[in-house]
Amino acid sequence: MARFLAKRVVYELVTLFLVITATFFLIAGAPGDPIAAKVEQMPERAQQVIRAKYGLDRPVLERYVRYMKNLILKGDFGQSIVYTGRRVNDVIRENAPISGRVGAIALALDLVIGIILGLLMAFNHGRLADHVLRVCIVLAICTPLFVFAAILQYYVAFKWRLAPIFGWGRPEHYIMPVLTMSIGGIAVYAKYMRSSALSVVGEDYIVTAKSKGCNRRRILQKHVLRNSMIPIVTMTGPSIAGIFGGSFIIEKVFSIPGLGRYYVKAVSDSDYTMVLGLTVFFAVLYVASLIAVDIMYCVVDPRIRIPGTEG
Amino acid sequence: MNVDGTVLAGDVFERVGVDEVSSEHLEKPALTYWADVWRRFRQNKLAVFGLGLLVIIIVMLFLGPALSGKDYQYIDSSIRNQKPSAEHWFGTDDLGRDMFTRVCYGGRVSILIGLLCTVVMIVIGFTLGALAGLKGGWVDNLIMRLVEFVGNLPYLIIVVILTLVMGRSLFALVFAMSLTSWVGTTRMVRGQILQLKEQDYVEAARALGSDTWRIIMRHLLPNTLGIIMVQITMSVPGFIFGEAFLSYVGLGIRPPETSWGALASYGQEKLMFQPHMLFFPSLMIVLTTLSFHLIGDGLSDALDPKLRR
Repeated sequence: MARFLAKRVVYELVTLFLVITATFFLIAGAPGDPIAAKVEQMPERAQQVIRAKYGLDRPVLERYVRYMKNLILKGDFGQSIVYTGRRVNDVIRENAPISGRVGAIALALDLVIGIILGLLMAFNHGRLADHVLRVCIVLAICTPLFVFAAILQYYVAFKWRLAPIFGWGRPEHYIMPVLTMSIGGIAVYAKYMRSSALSVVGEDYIVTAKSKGCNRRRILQKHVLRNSMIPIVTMTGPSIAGIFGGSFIIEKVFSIPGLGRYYVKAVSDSDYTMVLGLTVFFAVLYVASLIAVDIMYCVVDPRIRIPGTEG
Repeated sequence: MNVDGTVLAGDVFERVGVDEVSSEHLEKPALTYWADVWRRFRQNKLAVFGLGLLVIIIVMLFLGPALSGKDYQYIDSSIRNQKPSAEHWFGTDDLGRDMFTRVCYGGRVSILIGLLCTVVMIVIGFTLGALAGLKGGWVDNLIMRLVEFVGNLPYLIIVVILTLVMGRSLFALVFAMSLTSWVGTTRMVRGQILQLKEQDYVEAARALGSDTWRIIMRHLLPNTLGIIMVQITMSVPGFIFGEAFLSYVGLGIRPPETSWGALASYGQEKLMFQPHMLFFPSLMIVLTTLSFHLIGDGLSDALDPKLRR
């Protein structure tokens, strides 16, 4: 198990390093120069001073080495070029927890409701409840996030006045974004849980357990649940990173001051250092979630713990 | 004849004999693989419904503008914000443009992006997967490391960065989305090919002196076509979603060009007063993804040898 984990972690760290490097050089070579747009009317001397302030007068390689040094040694992501004096670290510290909280609540809902629905469908296989839920799930999977947002905003908030349409600051502001975000996730988890549980129920060891006289509850807990969780664990990793992907849309629609909205804004402002910094932050989170999945994998799937069978 | 000499109904039965020629004929005509798949696909009502829906949508996208007789960019300020009517089937937007025509044009762009990305994904994915599976050794190792690397990339972020760096164009969008998506195809094709290459006919082809490329194209491609078809039907809606997402946050298609995502994004701002501006493009996205899903499900059932009767 230790070897499996070590191998995975090394790969993931190498990936992270390559992503940061690639992003740095891509952005360094990006068309358009935010400084040029900002300082066009300034005298030559002032332009040079500003470029020197951001270190943009140095060669790309030197900038890269310095960026990496600051990043790894001090955890410093640099500062915005468009908004003078705004540090990427501050933006992350202020806005990431907001996105994180919304996403974490939504993900928890996804998992709990999705798994329950999936099991419900698997145990009612072929009956009415199964069919109805399956249709709902296909529809939910085929609907983009922003459509849910619109439907909920229009009916729940606008027509029925059950929750505030948008805004931020009070607890009830969580209702709409969390609901919107979790619908698609619930559908996906329920779908996979259903097929996973169905395939586990057909296994010989379930028949054995039944013939030994295990009661339903024990079979469910000890055998079905644990074994059918494996594909769910694989999916959870990308979902953790998806918290921030989904937040791009959710935060735009519901005017939530989260990191996703900042990111999109930085991209449209061509605020390159901000984009770079936030990208690096997202990449770190993503890789951390992949590592978390690998660890969970070891806990859930005993086959990985046995040396010699690892992939 | 019985032991005691009685004749056992000898005159009741007649000797049929063996007709050497007709016994060669089979009861049912032999079906080719694809004819059989198609037969089983047709039995799946939902899948056929999906296929029909998709055909209707595509016909609408291509004939729609001609039928409505409107231009998708023509601005007529006297008919702004109209609800759906006999004159404007999907209503008009806040500049007085005919929504039906706009949805048709936007749909062409969305589906084009979905198809282009899928083609690029399949070509890269298949080629690399086939090479890795067939060649093995360091080629396999190198390709699988690459797969692992690209598979670990945060997809969305990469797409955003690439569209930022390459400028917002259709090409950049397709490039960015397909760059990160071929990994799954490669893994799958490689697995399939590892199984297939042990088959005798591949051995025979090799013994007859076929080169790798010929083996891939003549023998391996047709045999992996099934799983590839399922991948295609599942990934087209994924790309349509991706485009819609990017256009929605303002990083995708730029006006005057439009797409379902761009239309929906625009409609979102007018949601409270002109819900039809969001409704129709969203409906089309949902229907299109739904049809691809149903087709994909039906196809993977039809291709599954375990379900074969």
